[in-house]
Amino acid sequence: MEETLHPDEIQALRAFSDSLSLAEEDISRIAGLPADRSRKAISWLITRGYLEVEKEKLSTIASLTELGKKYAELGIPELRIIRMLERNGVASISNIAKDIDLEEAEIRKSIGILKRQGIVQIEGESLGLTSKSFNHIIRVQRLIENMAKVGKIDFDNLTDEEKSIIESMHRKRGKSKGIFRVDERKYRFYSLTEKGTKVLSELKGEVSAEISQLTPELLKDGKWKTISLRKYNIGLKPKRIVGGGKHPYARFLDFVRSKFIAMGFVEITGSLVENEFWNMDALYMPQFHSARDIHDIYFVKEPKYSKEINKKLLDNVARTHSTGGDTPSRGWGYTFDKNRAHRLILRSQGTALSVRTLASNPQIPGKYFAIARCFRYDKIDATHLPDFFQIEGIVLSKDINFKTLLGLLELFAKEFAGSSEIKFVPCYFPFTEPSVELDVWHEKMGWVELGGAGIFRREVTYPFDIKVPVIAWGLGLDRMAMLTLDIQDIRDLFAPDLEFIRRRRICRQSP
Amino acid sequence: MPTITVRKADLTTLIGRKLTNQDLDLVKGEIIEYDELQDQLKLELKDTNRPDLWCTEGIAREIGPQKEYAFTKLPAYSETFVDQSLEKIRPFIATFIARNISLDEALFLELLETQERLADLYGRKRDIIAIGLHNLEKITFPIYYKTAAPKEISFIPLGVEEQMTLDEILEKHPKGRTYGYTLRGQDRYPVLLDSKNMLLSFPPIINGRDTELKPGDKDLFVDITGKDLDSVILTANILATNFYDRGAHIEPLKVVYPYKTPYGNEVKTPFDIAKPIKIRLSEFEKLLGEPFDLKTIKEKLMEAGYRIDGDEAFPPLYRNDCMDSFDMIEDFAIRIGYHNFKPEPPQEYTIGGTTPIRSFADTIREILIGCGFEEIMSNVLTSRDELFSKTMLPNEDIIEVENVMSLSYSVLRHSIIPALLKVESSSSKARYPHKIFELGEVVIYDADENLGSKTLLKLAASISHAVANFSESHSYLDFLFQQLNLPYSFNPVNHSSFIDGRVGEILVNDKKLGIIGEIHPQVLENWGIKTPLSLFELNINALYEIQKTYAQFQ
Repeated sequence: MEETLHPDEIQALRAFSDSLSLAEEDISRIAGLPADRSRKAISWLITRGYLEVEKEKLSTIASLTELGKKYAELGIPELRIIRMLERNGVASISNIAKDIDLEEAEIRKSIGILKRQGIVQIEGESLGLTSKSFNHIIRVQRLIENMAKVGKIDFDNLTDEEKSIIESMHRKRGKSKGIFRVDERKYRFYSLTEKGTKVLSELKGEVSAEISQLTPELLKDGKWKTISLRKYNIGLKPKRIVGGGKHPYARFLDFVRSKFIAMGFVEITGSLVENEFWNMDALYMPQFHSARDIHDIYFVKEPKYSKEINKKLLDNVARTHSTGGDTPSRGWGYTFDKNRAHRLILRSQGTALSVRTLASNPQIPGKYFAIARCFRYDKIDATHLPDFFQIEGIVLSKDINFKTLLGLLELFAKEFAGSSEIKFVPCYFPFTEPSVELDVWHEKMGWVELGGAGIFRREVTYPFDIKVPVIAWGLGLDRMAMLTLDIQDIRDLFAPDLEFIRRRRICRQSP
Repeated sequence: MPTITVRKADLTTLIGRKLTNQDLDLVKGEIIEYDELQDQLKLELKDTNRPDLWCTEGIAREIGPQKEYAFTKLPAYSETFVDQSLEKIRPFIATFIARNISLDEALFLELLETQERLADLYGRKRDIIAIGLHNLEKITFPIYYKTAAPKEISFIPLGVEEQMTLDEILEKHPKGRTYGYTLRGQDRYPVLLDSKNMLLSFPPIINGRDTELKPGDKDLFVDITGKDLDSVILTANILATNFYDRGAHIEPLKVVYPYKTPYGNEVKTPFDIAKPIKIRLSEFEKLLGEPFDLKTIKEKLMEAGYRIDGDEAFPPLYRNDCMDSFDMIEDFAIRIGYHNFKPEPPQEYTIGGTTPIRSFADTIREILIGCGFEEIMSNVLTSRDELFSKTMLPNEDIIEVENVMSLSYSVLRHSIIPALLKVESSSSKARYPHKIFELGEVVIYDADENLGSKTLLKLAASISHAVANFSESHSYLDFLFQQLNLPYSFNPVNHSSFIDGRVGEILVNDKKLGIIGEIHPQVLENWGIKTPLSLFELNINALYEIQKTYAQFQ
């Protein structure tokens, strides 16, 4: 349908579903529209060319007079006289008049009719029933009662007997006393044009004034065109739902990961259970020295020792600790305990992954990073978690020096803290020389230590036959994560409270 | 990292000028606290390999103008004789005399703190080195470092009033109980006596009452005993330098050994053990990224206390941390000032990326989040109670911590299921339905593995609401496998964490990859969870391997 029909037009059209030809009154009645609206609808439909005037017709219309309506209720006098005689046998005319509340003249007229029809006979003043056959009288009464219900009847819709009854009884009793009234009226009949028939055939289903929910069915057969959708109060509060989402800290770590990858770093992962060799010995942290005290380690109960460490690497590291081995260093100068190197612990620093990378043919030039879960033997409080993520990595290249180390840190400051105001502070790590701490100016936190870095000592790289300089760095992004997540207690990074997590999943500007 | 308290006025006097922020770079120190009332600074010192810096004198020495420490060249005042029996017990000793020091109350207390700090941190709880400070007046030279049987000698140790045998000290004296471990398994104990057989010290436990040092004393005798000669000598050098910096006159003593030491049978202490390091300009340029001239290098190194002889640099006698030329080059860079180096970002092009398993795991996270699941994150350290008692996981070997600090964090999780239940147990107020998951590391005990275990990624996803059931979890699992384009099946099993008849192993090609089911009401009760809960758990590493195989055939 190229045109949008008014619902009244649709209802009017729909009236033609069962009839080919309808008068205005019929349309109004079938469509259930008030006369004025139906008239308007018809005129619109004619304008559209969906309806046309089929014919105009003169009709004879019968209806009841006021008296007729009264008779419909009480019965015509003839019938009432018969009923009375049936009850009493014989009655005087005056008695009848008293009994059935009719004027005497009228009674006499009726008795005359009954007599002519051979239903009663008169002997003096008394009246008696002669025949029990008065079907005609009953049919007259029925017609009257029926017409009282219908109101008006077209002569065309009446039987010949009914027609003759009406014709014989209208106005015969005087202008005002007739039972039926007969009028002539001109009617205009409408029918569908070819176009209208087509439109109607497309309109199927019930017409409903208002519908709240659009359904697949309504869309499927086009019924939506026949309905009007209820207007909502769109200001109401909705029912609340819960959506899926990343954990806010995971989202932060994903952001960090994507940054490193964008800077050309390759991610490295490894075992949470590690031996002392990779966790400390390979990093030139002496087995019996205070440098090892800065690490408080969780030891594994069972099994206690790893099965094997590559013999050549173990020898290299052992000799380096004792005498410097093949490096220019003089070493720590103690006897290295190879058994202790096998002792199993929980990884205490991400640097264990970096040094494992040194031992497995790294790319040169190469950049590696790890978001490594680590464990520290420490009291658990607002600033200490028993396990936590360390962000660490290495850069290998023959062209690396102290200035490129600072350059890398400057890049990190920009990428992770959006900070260009930075400080390089001398620092100490047992495995790097020189070592530096990176402090950055953060809008909200002031001066923050963002990370530590250095160039691996030759005592770390030479045992693995790495002869190019290697930058080792670690970033402390926890404070930034806590700021992003709006938490003050680091234990809340892993808070097992869903409502707490949901509140903190709300998207924030950075990162 | 040692933390020390210094009197600011004292430090300023020793340095000869006011302290600046830049000065702290020289000692790798950070002010943690300033007590204005007492005019005291609390400093954290980051270099764990520089015990000389763990005191006011050391900090001042690094910052202030350099001095020459010539006392090692003085002749020995007397001798300390070492007995053969010490060779296998506590073989080394250094002794010296410090005269004419004004030891007021404050300095006296600081001296004791310095002594404790060195013996505790550098000497590793007095095992490697221990220090004895004595009133020189009471002592008759030479000194004898000998051994005695546990009940052979008795004396009045510091801190008590009565005579005790060595055995009794180890058993009853607080210091004996703390440090006695260093002598465990010995049948003779070290003792230090003077020529009149007066007991000075029972190293490394406690000194005798006779030579007790008190505030106001002017002349000191110092002994350092230990198991490593370099550490013993370095400690003597640090202490001697400290006293010298405070105006004392240092007199060396000669230690005579009946056995060989790396420095011979006679070692006069303090003793300069510094080994020369060659200055190579090319090495400076290569490490620091720009060239420096020899004059600048020498100047800066001398500021840092180095002695220069031709192209060789000798670290100061109070330091023994310069193992490689890199250590010296860092000292130089610090003196230049890190801020004076122009940062140059690495220029070389490398291709970044993550591991295939990580990408795979991220894909799975994405699918679950797409299904409306909320991600959670938990500690890997957990407890037997959470894994077995509460969650009722079938008993199996797991990795446990030997040195437990808190039972709540004493084992490594091998399943993520308890983590989900933990969240549910404290989230009953959060709007339902709950659909949560964690994809993270677990550790599986495996005696055959080199590290006794395997670290894997596992995924667990759970659903909890009034009518949560098996089939809902099944639907999500089904969707996940559909997205991964993998077939799967279930094998009904018995599992103590789940309702009987509503639990199955998840199989792909007959390989067990995980478990799915409705959590047993007993488990829910254990965790205090009031809504039904169904879940599944998958081994992501195994799933990844299978998926890789499938991908090859497709």
